[in-house]
Amino acid sequence: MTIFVVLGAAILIFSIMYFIPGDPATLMLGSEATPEMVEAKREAMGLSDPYLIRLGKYLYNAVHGDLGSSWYTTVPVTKELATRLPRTVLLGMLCVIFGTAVALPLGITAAVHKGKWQDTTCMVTAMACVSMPDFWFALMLVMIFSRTNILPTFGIGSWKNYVLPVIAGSLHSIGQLARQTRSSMLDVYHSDYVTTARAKGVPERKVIYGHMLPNALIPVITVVGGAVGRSIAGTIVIEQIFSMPGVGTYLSTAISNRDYPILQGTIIVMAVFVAIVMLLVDLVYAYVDPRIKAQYVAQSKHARRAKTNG
Amino acid sequence: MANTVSAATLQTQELQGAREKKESFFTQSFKRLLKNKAATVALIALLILVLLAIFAPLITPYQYDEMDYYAINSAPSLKHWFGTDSLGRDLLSRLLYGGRYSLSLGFAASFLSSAVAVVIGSVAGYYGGRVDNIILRICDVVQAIPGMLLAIVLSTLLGNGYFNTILALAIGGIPSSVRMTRSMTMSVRGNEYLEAAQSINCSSSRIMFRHILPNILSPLIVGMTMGMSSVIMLAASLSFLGLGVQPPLPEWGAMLSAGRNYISNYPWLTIFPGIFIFITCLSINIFGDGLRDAMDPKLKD
Repeated sequence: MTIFVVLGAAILIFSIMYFIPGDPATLMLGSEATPEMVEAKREAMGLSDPYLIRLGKYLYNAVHGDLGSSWYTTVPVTKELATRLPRTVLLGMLCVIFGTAVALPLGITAAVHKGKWQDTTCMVTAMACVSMPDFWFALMLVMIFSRTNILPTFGIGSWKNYVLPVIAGSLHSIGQLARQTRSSMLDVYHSDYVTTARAKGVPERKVIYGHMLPNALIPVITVVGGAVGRSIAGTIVIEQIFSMPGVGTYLSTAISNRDYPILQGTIIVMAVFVAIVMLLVDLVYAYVDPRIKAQYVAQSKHARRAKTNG
Repeated sequence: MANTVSAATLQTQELQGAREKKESFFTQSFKRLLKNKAATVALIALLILVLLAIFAPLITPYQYDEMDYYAINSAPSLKHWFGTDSLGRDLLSRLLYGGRYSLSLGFAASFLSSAVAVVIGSVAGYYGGRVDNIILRICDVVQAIPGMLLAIVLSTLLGNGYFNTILALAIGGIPSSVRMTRSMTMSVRGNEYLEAAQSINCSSSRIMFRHILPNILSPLIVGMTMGMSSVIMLAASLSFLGLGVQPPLPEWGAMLSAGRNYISNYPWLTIFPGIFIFITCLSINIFGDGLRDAMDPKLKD
């Protein structure tokens, strides 16, 4: 299923890029090129092939690890991505982990103290996080910290370089996760097993972390999965602001240069990454929730029985 | 005798029904919304922003492209409340004019994507089966691409400019609204009033849009409101990256992007546009939360 989604996404992106007006050969050679030169270039780049053949070639090459080369620097996209992708993935993952680590306590505190000042404080914070434009927040961080010497505001190198980008990049995840955690904690607040646990005299702390939280986390996992995709995409802006040489900077340079092979290849790779993460989230879901696992087990049993019977 | 009595009660019941009907679902929700203080404040803030944007030419002391070479990069003062930019243009005037672009982009794009999604989602939910399956798979594919990336690719394809940006933003929002419309349609699909409509030979489109749609409208409206703030932010990030609405048009994201180069010396060029985006998104989100609670009291918390 994931393979089809990834393939579909790749075809979709290729098709969108295919229809972008303007002839790349003319763009590359400049306005002084003669029609013959343009024609030769088109032929060399395989631009005169029909859509389906180009699509087939592109997908074939992509599967074999060739996503084309930059029009300007002629460096292969995969080569650039090989050095840049780990940084971006690290940044994105750190954002998600940091976001979850901050959001869960916020959401739990809010739910446990529903209606009191702790609830209001946590939810106002979450709302502010959701509504704050992350690139603006990142710029404000740069502005404040570039005047002091506490934390570096650009480049990579040490772990210190990651502190500010991670804070800025996890902003939205914090808000959304905290809100989701609160509402799903409140959903299970009045369920029978929680009442039972309380009636048995289980300490409140244990009720919250042992009985309520594991059940409340199930819907939160979906939001975490979504946060991964968003964080990876969000690094485009964050990396640019903090001048980190990751995929985001690569992509935003490609946008301003109109360097389409980079745009195409990078976005396909990111989509593949996000699709894989989504698959993992589904698996985690099945692992965490015995009800879903039971469903799968029942299904495969059913299928096996049907096989033996048929 | 018994007959007349029952007829009389029936009549009074009908009358009562009519009287109740006067207060429609939306007026009721609106009244409930006004009881929520935070949501009311958010609504007022939003209205003020919209009004300021609409009446910008009457309010602002300067035109948004009026340059004053004697006041380049001047700090906030009484003459220029929010200071001026690198071309001596008054920042406050530009921000108020910018609301026209930023706000209308958000409204238009979310409305457009909801409108398209309602049609597709209704079809998927109403017919089910293979149609539903195909539509869902297409949604899967589109959703595999993170919204920001899709918006980037689409606006590269469509080119910069106001209407193209609306399209680029709207397309990315369609799949999630399709899913929502579809599941809502499916949840009311088995109800008796649809069977009744079918039995009097209503056409499918009439059933979908006259009978189902009004019954599933409120969660869709809430969803659209909630989506609006992320669309506004996405639009701002697009212009920040150099796509979407471009300078000299005073879109907030584009202004932020332009001010970024002067951030260490003239920070107000970056601070104020961001605050405007922040306030707008905050109001929309709080209003959306309030709307959700007001329209579906069951969902509250």
